[in-house]
Amino acid sequence: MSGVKQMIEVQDLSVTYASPLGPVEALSHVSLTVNEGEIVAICGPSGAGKTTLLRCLSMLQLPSSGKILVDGEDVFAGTSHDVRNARQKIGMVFQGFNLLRSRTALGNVILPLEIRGVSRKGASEKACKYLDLVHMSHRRDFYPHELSGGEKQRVAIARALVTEPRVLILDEPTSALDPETAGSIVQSLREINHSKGITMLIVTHQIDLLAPICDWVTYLREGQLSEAPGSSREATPAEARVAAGGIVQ
Amino acid sequence: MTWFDSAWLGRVGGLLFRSTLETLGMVLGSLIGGQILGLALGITLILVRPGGLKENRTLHSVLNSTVNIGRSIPFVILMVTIMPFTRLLTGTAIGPIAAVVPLTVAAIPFVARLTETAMLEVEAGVIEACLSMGATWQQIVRYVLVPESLPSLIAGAATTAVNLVGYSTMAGAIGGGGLGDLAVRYGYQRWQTDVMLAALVILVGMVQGMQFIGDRMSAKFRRR
Repeated sequence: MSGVKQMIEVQDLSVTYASPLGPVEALSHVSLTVNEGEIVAICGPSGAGKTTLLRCLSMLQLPSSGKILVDGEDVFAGTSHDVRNARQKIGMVFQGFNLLRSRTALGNVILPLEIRGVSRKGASEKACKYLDLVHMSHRRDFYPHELSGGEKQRVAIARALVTEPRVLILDEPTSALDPETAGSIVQSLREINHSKGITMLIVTHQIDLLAPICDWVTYLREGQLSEAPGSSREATPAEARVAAGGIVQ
Repeated sequence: MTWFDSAWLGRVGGLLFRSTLETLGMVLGSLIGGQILGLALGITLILVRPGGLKENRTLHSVLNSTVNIGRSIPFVILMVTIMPFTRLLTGTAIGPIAAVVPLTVAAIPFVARLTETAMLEVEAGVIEACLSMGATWQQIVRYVLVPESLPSLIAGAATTAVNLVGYSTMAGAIGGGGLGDLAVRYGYQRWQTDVMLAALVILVGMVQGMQFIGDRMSAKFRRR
């Protein structure tokens, strides 16, 4: 498609771990392209390599071979300083929320801005804006242990968005939530995608819940990607379920 | 209690007060020194450990062994062994000011190990979250490791303070001053059991107070 910008390009990515029983190939020659503004879901069974792929995308793990380009830049090509800069283009929402217990909701959202050296006042104003975006302004002074699972997830999303990344990566964003809360989080993701045009890559088991907001769905099985029937970008939620072949719960 | 009257207080009150201040001074001085240096050593151990943010197996092995050796030397032997160093720093090897040196040296490996243990409890996922935000290792120490482990660090400081009270009495027994010195000189050498008991009551109260303050402060920062 001409005129469409490729935001994430994964090229022939392989990750091999050493183990006492010999090398384990977690990802095998994975290639994936996500265009700007798309929402893409990756589903697959446990141990398929989904988390390894996300860790590579967020530069927490070095691949054995292959490349990852975000917004046209090879994220592993530069120095550690370049890697830190590249990381700032990507917002990451973790499965376990990973909020700091010692900070309030507002303090957690301010953190990425503090890391970038933004002034306290400017960081606070911006963090409030993003807490408002995820409907969490009324809980800004609450500590994580005082928040419900859905509220923690909203704070984690605000924290990932506050630096205005080009890409948002979400690892099982709804798995720890009840159906109603999960539905409202999915709705929020759709709104954020529409209002900010942020590219989203979502790893999920709950394809029924997330497929309706996704532009397309792909499957990771035994370290290899397989696309949905026909053109993957045309897969409907129903096709997604069929193509998952019962492996996605 | 026939001996606890105004005449008795007038006779030994001043001694007890001065010795208490000496003990508090020794404990506080060595606690501050031990915490600063022990915290730095503990953070270094965390950073250079296998899988750490600045992994360096050789340095970790050296520091780890140093901490183990430091913790295994009995305090009385340590105090005597480092007397030349103490004399070099303070100009004397006896008295409460000189005792701060070996007390600090004894506290460093203890605090380092407590710091390492406290920081190992910080969830790896939280550190990874900060790395994914582009944080440097210095920022992770400042924003994650220290604040997230603060309740355990405070509890560790209270334990260290209580240990230092015990060590300070040993220091007193060999010329370090303070309540230990008072108890030995009056209680043991002059058979004045009342002075020894009074020193003991003050020491018990001191330990209780330190533990109480440590527990309260630790609870204040613990968010679970």
